[in-house]
Amino acid sequence: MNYLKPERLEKLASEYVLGTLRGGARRRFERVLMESYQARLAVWAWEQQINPLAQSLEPIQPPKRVWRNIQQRIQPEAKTSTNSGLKWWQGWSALSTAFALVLAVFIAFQPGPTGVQNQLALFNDEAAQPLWLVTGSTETGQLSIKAINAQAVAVDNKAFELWMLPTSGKPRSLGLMPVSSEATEMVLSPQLLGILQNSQGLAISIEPEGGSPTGQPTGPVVYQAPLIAF
Amino acid sequence: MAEQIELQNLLHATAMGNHSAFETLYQQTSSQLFAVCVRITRDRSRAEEVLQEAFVKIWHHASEYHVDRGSVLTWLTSIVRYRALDYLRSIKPTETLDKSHEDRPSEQRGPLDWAVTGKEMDALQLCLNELSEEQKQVIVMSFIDGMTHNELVEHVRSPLGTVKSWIRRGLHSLRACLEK
Repeated sequence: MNYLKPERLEKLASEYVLGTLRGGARRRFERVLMESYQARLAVWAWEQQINPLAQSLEPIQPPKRVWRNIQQRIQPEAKTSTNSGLKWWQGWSALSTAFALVLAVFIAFQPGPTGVQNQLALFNDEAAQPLWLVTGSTETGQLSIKAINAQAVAVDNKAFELWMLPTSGKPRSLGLMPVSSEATEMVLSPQLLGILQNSQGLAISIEPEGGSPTGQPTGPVVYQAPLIAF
Repeated sequence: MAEQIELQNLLHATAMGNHSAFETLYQQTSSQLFAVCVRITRDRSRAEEVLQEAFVKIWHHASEYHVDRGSVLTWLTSIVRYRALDYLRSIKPTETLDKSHEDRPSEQRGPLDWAVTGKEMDALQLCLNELSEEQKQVIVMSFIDGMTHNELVEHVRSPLGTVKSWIRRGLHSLRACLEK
């Protein structure tokens, strides 16, 4: 279906903003919004026209605990601190979460016997929150994919497929990404391992359930991550 | 306009990690946005959760606001409403509805009364008033109360096709009128 035909886009954008676009149709349109600036413009235009209606509601004061909870969520470290001099770094909390995770993995994967390398890639969302962690060993060919917060970005009836991006040649599939908290473990053939070692990074595309029907990415590439060797 | 500039400044400071600006932004907008949450989720404690999630998101995404999105309040309203609609989706259908809408404020005022209470909505008000009463009713109820097509069908006791067509034609006329 072509979502971007002007009439169709207009209808979907208006019902998305109004709220009557629900369920799978809403999720599918959200995917279109991620990919299409034209679709986002259509939604923004409708938001500007309809959202003022929300001001017709009588304001209701939320209980104080709501703000306290928000504060705890955005600066959990500072809940007993009154030192305003510390505030500047709190915006970095998302980054530090990711860094802590990398550090934890780094510690867990201390280099083994000489010549053996471990590799990892961390996929983050746009707010630098980790979604998946991929770790691999060049010695054993073992690859582990762990979903950290992938459910937050899951799309109905679609799968996330992982690709190696060789420095030359086409992407090579490494299979589907887990979305629940379970990890996927696999052992790569020496051939695939060779490709991985010469890859510039990993990428994730959105594919039909069951994965790409063609062996190449067919949907949008939504996340990329460099491979870090250590 | 002055309000928009002030909110823009607060949002800009929030994007730079300024907590006190974010707190002021919350104080200035949360009552209006909480009303939106309460109406859509139909439950105070759910509404609190939605408002909380929405403001955490606003904190992390403040830098993504730009003027193409409309006023700051429009942008905040979108974040809150979509979060509330997602919340409805995440709970089980059996939990979704309270038994009736009868005791809710929207029933004490007819849909035609809606448009007269807003502040910065003169154009919208004029254009809503140009719609048929049915069109206006279903549009307001979907937006304000987060009603689905099926809930609207039950509420106005008209067939699904009719309800959908009121929405479609109503939105079409609204757009045409607002763009005049």
